[in-house]
Amino acid sequence: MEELVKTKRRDFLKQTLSLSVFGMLANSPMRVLAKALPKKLTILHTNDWHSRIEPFPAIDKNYGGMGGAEVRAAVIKNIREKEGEILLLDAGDIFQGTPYFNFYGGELEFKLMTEMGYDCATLGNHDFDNGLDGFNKQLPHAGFSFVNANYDFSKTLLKDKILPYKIFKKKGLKIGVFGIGIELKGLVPDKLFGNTIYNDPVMIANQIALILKRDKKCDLVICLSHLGYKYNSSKVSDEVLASQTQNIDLIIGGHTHTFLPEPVIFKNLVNKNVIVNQVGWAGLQLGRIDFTFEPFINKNYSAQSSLIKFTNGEDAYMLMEG
Amino acid sequence: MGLLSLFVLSCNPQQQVLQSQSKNLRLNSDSLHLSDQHVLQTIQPYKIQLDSLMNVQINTADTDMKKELPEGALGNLVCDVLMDYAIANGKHPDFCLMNHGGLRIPTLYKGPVYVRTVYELMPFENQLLLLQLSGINCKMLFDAIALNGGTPVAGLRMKILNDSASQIQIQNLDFDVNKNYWILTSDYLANGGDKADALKAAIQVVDVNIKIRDALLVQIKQMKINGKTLTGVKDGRISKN
Repeated sequence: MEELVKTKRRDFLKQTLSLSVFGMLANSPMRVLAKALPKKLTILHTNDWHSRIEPFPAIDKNYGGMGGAEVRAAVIKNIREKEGEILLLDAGDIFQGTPYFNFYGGELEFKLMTEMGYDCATLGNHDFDNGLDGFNKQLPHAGFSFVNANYDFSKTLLKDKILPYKIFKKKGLKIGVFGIGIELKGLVPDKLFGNTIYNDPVMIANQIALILKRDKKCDLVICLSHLGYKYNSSKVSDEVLASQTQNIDLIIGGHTHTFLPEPVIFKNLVNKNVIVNQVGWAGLQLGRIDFTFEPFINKNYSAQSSLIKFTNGEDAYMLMEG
Repeated sequence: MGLLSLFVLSCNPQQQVLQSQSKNLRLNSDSLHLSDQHVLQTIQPYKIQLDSLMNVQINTADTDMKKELPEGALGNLVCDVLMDYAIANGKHPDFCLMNHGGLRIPTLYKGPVYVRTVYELMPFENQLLLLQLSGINCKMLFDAIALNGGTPVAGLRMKILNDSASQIQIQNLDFDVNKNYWILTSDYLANGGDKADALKAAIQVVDVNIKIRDALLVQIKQMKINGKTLTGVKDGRISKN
């Protein structure tokens, strides 16, 4: 009987109301609650793959034999077998860097990411290397979504093909994923990005993250960023994004090809933790973050203007939110 | 109280992160005896076609050549080869200028150089251009190079002193601010990429009608025919005090 009750309790946790009533017969609801297993989710991520379909050649003194789509696919499959549903993400610059891109334009990269079961990716500057048209041509090979919220594609042929954000439901959790891209002017030739309009990353990220956390009631909000980890100037980076926004839980970064030994935790505008991670480039590493959840207690969205003093003593910053 | 808790639980209330654990996993062949046949099969037809084009040896590198600032053996080699290509094709650039970030391998290793190597060194579809620029704008350009901490060049020598360019020589003659100069460069830089804004003030632009990568391929093959291997050396063309 005890064994049966245990089984039923596990089923109950899968949110079936009828079984929970059954559970009440054997256990008081409080006891069930006390023993409720917390929800968990594994996030896997890459960035700046740069068309590295094959491992680095053995002659390469830094990375000989490392990377490649095959081993990545195998590791991902292995983790899926152990963890069940996972979320697999990429922070951009899928394109450019090996002849696979010069000859096939990214077709194989998208096909392989689809086979590996990627859920979502954002665009890096090099994903514009064959122009908007070149990217658009490969989209049919991508069985996953692209998100970006601060590029306005409405006057381009990518209109409605890149979502500002997407909400995924995995293991009974709602995960909001949005994308933020780097300023293209001066980095990407004008003719390649055409009429794409770049909007301020911090402002847009705050707007989207608030929508995802407050209105869409996401349990986890993830920003796929191609801004770069940090700079020695005031240029907007993941560090800046993390500290000047709120309602973002995780920033998966790219662009600077930074190999973080482990994710870095920043404090956001309201002194809450934001995890920032980036795994170098070329598919040499796979980032893995395992989250454990608890019911949301502190619903402090602070949608009103709030005055925040930066620790570096610069001018106070007024956050204006709608 | 019990019923309320039950209600909240059954409604799947919004969650927040309690804790996280992370690990950035290195992906190499011993990172699991794993293989994925499905992925291999997807890659195979592309790989076979590409290998037949890419695994063709075109020359040999005598030494390891690194991408470095203010100058590196690899950047010097690339600019020297492009100058040779231009001259061999009837052009007369005064100096060559490429962008450091445009070289996409950190080191060209000693040994065989394949078509693949050149693709990986210069994957971008940038065009080779000749620009004519006034001396005044050249000086702005040299100061921008100094501020960037150097860049790959050929035909030009300069010293970086307090973030500005000094002791500038072009084709072994002192730089003359009253003269116009012909610069061999990429359309990326000519359009102001990498903050090379001075290049946007070009007096004339001549399209050399070849991609930079293709010019490198042609010239590196020609060097082999002429019995020359690839030797990039640091010769102090840009130095920093």
